[in-house]
Amino acid sequence: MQQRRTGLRERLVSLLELPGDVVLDVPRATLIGNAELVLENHRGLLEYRPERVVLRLPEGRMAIDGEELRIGYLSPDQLVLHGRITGLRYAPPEGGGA
Amino acid sequence: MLRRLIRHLLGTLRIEVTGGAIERFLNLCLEADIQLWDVRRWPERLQATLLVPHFFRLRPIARASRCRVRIRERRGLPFLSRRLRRRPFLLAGAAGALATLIWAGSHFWVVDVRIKGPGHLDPRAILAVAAEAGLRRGAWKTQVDPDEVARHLRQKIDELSWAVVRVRGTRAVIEVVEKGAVNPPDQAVCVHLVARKAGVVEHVIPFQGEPLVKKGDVVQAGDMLVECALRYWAGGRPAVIPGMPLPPREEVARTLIAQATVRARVAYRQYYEFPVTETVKEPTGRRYTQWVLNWNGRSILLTGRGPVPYTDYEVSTRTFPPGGWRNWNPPVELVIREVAEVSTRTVTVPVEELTERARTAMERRLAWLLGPGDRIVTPLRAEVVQQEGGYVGILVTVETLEEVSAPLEGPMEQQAGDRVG
Repeated sequence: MQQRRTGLRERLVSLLELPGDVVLDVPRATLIGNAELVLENHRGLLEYRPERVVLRLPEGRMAIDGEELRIGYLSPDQLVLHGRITGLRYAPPEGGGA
Repeated sequence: MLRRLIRHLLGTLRIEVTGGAIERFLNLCLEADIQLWDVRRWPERLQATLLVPHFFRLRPIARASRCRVRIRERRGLPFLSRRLRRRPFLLAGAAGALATLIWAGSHFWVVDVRIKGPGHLDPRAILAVAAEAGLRRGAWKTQVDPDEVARHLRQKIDELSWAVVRVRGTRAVIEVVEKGAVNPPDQAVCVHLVARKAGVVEHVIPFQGEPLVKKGDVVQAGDMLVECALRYWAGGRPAVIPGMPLPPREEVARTLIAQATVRARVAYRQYYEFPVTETVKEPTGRRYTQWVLNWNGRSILLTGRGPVPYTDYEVSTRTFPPGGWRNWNPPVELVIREVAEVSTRTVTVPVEELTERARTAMERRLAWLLGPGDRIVTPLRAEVVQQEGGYVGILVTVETLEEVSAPLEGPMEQQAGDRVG
């Protein structure tokens, strides 16, 4: 049922040419070089270490690997990450791990 | 920028979180809508910055996540004001510096003039006229209307074809364009007007130059009356910056031929002396005539031989040349000498007549001394001052109103000492 509703919403967005990050409950990540990552619409932190940050997303998780990672700004709807970013991965919501 | 300002106004705290579940601490902060920035993680601790009002909401979060929170640094206005309250003089100094800065920035400190054109206009004349409209060094910026100053300049100075005032901070730049055909004053000639007589100045009407005397001043002969300097020159007129002292004479920009009417009351005192008695000669009627022929440098007595038979006599001579032909005159002439016998007697002249003679002599002298516009303001007074030794001394006094200025050419520097007042 949930998958069906999501599929309908995606088709509506495609049909009306609406911005997906506004209508769909998905994160928006902006990567500036490998020095800064701006992530909007996250759901909190699962792990924070200088070489790895794992974020909870509305659907799944995002793992960011790098060196000397630090959070420049952290608010309920936005996270700005600084440092030397080497990798970025999406992971399913449950199991598997990042 | 705005976010930084809000942070500064509210104050920020740098906290250190140790122990417990740090990720849980962060997530609970997010749930409580607490914003964090500059979050740094070490294996055993975490540092972050947050607003002061948010700090007081951390206690339940720290308890729930079993973390310990310590304040490492305080920043922002609340902490700054607390520190400043303990140092009132520092605060006063800062306030004073700020006030001084605002005050200094509210004035014109430099007024520049840029002239385009033949270059006959004196920049100081522009400054002087601008000062009339309020634009001068030290003037409040709010009290000066640049458009009004430019309009005033165009009205007052005929030689300008365009003027504008530009304001750059505390600097005002007056840009003017001079008309092409401007007759500059002759700068090479410098002619002063000096007093040629001593007197009391009655009135001064300057046409060109700077008058140095006024009504009531006592001047001596040689004193400077009108200086050839025109310190500020605009439209053929001097313009002086109001409220500013005149610059030194050495900086006078323009020179000219001073022209003015300076009339002064001049007093004359003349002493005349006459003998009380006079010798009068009267003819007796007896005459004796000699005819002499002068020929080629020699005198030939024709009639009246022998010496003159009278003791006192007067001789009158008449010469008759024979006339010439073209440019040739014959070397001969006839001379008739008439000798008339006279008798001499001594008469006493009354004092009244002598006084009248002195008065007449003074009038004759004044006729030479006074010019066409001059006049006698008090009647001649003749006073007998002594009558001893066979002589009568008479003092004649008179006062006139006359033009006393006379031109004196030369550089100003050499005549600096002649200045009056």
